[in-house]
Amino acid sequence: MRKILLISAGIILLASNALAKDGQDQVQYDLRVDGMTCPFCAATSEKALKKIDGVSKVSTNLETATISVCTDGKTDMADEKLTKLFKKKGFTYVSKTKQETCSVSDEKKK
Amino acid sequence: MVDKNVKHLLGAGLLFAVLMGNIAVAAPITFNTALPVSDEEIIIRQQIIYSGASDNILGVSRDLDIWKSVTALGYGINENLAIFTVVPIINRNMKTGNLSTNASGLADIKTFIRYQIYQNDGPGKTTRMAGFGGVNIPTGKTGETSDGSTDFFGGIILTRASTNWNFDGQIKYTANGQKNAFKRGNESAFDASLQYRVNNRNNNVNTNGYLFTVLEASLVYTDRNEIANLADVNSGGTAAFLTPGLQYATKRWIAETAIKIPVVKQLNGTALQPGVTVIASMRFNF
Repeated sequence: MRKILLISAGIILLASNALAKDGQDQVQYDLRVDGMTCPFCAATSEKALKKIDGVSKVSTNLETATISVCTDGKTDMADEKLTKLFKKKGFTYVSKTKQETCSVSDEKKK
Repeated sequence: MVDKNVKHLLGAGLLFAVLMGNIAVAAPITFNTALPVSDEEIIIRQQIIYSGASDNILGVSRDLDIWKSVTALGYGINENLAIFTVVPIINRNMKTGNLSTNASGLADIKTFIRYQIYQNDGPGKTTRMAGFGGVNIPTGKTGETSDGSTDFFGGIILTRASTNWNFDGQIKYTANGQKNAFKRGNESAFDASLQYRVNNRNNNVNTNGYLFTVLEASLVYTDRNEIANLADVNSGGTAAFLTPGLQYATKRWIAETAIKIPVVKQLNGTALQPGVTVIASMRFNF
């Protein structure tokens, strides 16, 4: 019984550590994008962002017109690039803010 | 006649039940010109449409049943230009007194382009205007599923949308061509669609779909047909429709259903007046 509890606790600790590192290794950009009104708009934008190398997680909040993107920190997220990307998809990129940790829960689909 | 109406109702109920089983459907349901499609993306809409109409002229009953499978395919060429193709397959049964006729198969394929001429975005809202133009290609069997003519159409579509409601309005004109001695009357149509989101308390688009109630209105004016350059007095006229419906939209698919009800039936002469149309539809975004 004690062995089982110790093994379980060890696995939980290892998993927690891995998850913590996963978030710490990444940075998060919160992109303000205008013109998105529907779930299709969110899907189109997220799909385009997920094609960028280094992007791991993307999540959209239509009410705040915000798309949260987690990257490896080396990813090029220049305003010019984002403006062009969203214009092609039919939306208007406005601005971005950067956070040093990633809190997005949506996993990138392979 | 009663049996026929019961069958129509059952058909409508069945379609509605099937759709609700998948959870129901947002953009206009009765027209395809406002379908949203982004650059290098594909949208597919598959509709099943049932229309029924019946009357009695001088003691002779007329009953018309039409089932349609309509597949609309759209592709975004760039951020402003999109191309669409609409492929209808129909099954039409017409019973006049004791005489029945049936026609089925591919009808006329419609293809059109849409070019966005105005866009104004805000946080969670947008206003867009586009022009469209296209052609009805006579791919159906002349005299059965097609009148055989090549027809041209064009118009303007306006969309105003927020996360809680959408409005689409279009003006469309169709110039019908002539095949042999027959020319269908030209058509002017005014369509409007209002979609209001009812489950707006949960805004997480990643876990919840958006449920919209829909109300659409349509006014159609059709010129008289011409046979050997002579106007057919029993054709053309004015019809108006109200179409309540439901749409359930997720990030990858939309399901929708609607019932198109004629509220003005002023077709000329003995032309068969329009009946109720039931639409069930799914959309997918790739």
